[in-house]
Amino acid sequence: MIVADYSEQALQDLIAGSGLRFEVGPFTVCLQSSLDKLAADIRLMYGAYSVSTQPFADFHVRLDQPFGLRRWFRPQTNFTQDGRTPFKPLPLDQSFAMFEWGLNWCVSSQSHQYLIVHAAVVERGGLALIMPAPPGSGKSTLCAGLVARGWRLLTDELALISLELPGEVIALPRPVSLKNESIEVIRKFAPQQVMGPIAHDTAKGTVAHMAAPRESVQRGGETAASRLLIFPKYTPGSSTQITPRQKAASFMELADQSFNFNILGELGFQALRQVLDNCDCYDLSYSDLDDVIPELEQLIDKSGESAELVGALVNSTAAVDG
Amino acid sequence: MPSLTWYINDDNPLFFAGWPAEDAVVVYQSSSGDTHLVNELGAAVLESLQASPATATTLFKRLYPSESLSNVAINKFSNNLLVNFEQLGLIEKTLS
Repeated sequence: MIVADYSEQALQDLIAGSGLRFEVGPFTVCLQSSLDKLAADIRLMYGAYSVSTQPFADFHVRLDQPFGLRRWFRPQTNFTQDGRTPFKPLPLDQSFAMFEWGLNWCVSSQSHQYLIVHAAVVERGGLALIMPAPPGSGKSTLCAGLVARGWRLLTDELALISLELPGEVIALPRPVSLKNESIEVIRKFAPQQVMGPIAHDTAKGTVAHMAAPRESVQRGGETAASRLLIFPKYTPGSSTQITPRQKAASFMELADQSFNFNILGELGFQALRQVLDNCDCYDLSYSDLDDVIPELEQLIDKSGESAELVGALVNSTAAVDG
Repeated sequence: MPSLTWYINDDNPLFFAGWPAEDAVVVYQSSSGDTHLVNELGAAVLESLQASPATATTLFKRLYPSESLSNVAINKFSNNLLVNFEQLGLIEKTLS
């Protein structure tokens, strides 16, 4: 059963009662809320996700209006997880965005069974393209553009690097967070993609989310082998430029963008080293999605071919040795 | 005459990540959780000390077996690299 199998009313009743339990990548989320409109947004953005029948959930989250004046005057929303309230309340029309940011916080602060890096990850032909970047670099816009052109979405925000499967990235397909001008860019570039509610005047400006494609959600249990590590930078008016960069310096950037590298100690170091062993690293400057996407497709397809060639040479050498 | 022996504490091991054709190496110190980017010479010094303690002179001979030793060169080597690594907490010294 998937979330969209519920009618909007049934979903609202469930969320207002015992809670909606659904599978998001490797996690089970239990959502409860007394807000009226949230069920419609969840159904729109998480319709393709499997409903969990297990009593256990990794994260129990709630969104509610606070008591008192703020219930009526400039109404607000509170996010709580397991009874904790990690954030100040936000305006009511930012409820869905707050759910997304709250879930980011749950995963990044509590899921130390993975090395977590602030990065988008998309996959093509079984190979993962990892894009770490600070806010404002155009990472999410590029991620949304690639996904709209058929790449599988593993994550827009939190790359989960396996500590057990060397160099593998765990899928956490969730809505892609778009800000300000990026919203209109993606609307025009990919009008067929489902867009969620627009939240105005947030700390990040205007925010809207693009739903993860159904196929990416359905393949949420599949890992992808890290192959390309690209540091994107949106530069208005520039042509696409892809420049090789050193792995050691890239390692340092990735460690810097990690939420729990220091917590994991040697395990985190070895996991990151494996990713760098697997990946070719580049800096990318772009301004036009129609221009950059074919270049990236060519790059990952070529890197896949070279990896296959190396694999074949290793195998033939082993056969000769044997 | 006593001399300084440099070493890496067994309880404080270093881990290295380097790749062919690159001029920098990542060094991770497990106890502090600090990650450093060092040049090839720096990485060679740390790897050598992790293998076994050494005085500056011994270390210099290990790294530059065909070079002639001079006090100036060794002092420079010591001040530029070893003291710097000590300040970063990567290596320690003892009087022997």
